[in-house]
Amino acid sequence: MGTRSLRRRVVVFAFVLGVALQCVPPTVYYLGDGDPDDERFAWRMFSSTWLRRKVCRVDYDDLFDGRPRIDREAELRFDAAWLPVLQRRWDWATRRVVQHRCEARPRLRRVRVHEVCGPRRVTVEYPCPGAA
Amino acid sequence: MNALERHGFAPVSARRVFVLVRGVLIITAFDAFRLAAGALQSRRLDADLAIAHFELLDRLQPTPTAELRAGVFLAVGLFSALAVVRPTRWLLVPVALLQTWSWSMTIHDNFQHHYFVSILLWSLVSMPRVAVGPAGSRWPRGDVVAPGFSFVAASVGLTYFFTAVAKVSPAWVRGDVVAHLTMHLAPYWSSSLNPWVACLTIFFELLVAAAYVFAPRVRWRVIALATVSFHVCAELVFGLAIGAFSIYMVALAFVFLDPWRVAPGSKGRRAEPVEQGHEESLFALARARPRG
Repeated sequence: MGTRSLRRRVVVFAFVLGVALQCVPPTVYYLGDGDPDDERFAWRMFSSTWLRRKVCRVDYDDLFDGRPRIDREAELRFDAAWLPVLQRRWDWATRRVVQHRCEARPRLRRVRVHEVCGPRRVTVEYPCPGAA
Repeated sequence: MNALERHGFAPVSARRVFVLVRGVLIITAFDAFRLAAGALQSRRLDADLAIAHFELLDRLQPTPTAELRAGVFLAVGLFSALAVVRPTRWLLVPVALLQTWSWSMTIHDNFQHHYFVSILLWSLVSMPRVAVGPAGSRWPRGDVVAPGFSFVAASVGLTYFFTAVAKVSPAWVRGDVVAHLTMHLAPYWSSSLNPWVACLTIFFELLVAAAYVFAPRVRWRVIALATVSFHVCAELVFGLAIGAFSIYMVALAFVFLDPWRVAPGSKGRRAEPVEQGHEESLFALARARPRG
């Protein structure tokens, strides 16, 4: 096999590999059992999940063991940064946000994340690691 | 030589490669400078917690602050602007690397088109360098063999394909999403149109996907103009404010689907067929070109 022929085959292989790699995230999204809200690499623009984000509102509340000490500035900063992420309802990201919240706020026992879509309200409760 | 090799190694007009590389870099530069300004004003980053798109990045990178993101965007803009003048690999690799880092460093950036731009920029690295033609000519002449060109076409085709697949859902087909998008057009828009527009969009995106897959060799003027209109309508009529993504897609439609057939060899429906020996020599020519 000549150098040129080998080079061609390498280029064709890279071409096919590149195309196949791009197909992996959307295929895993549809065929895998991952989070259906996590559409990041699945090319799902203006999907039903997007519509739900537009018409629903996500909020949360904290359940403390005893009286909490609130730093108002820090809470505002946290909400500005992380409420948009909670709004996306990616379970893995919500867990990391909650875990950080639990670590940074003493005596926090659990965080309830609510999604309100018109009259419908869905609540998911995330216990803090190590909380009874 | 199999069909894939024929497709990937089909010679394309040097002018189209030239416009693709420069066009993508110019849009990237403008978008990056715009995003740098936006990043500084953003309140969305919290220094106490950082979550990247990939867990490994959280261990490797410094905590992404607004200043860091703005700096990365500025670097992307500067490298892109320099690469417009001289698109060497020494400039294209940092552009692709920094642009990929700019969105992957934090999940606050979840625009899918930033991921798409990464694919585009990494593809540009493999393009042959096409210089402007001899003195007196404003455009490069002749054809080059550029498998990267076909790769970009296939990638754009895949994007349209999966975008169409995503729309095959009850909420879309019923027209719920279109109804939400056309709320502001209420006095001029009939809700009975929604399911029709929804289904037509799926069909159209599949058609555009096919057009891109065959784009390096076949051009359809009607699909090209319809694609441009589709993105212009999405921005101006439906007010989707997708921004840079629409600009990229319109630019790519001009390059790949070539509505006015400005590139050489595009007078007919197909580019000129190339004989085996000629193709080999073009391949050698592309390899022999000096690269940066």
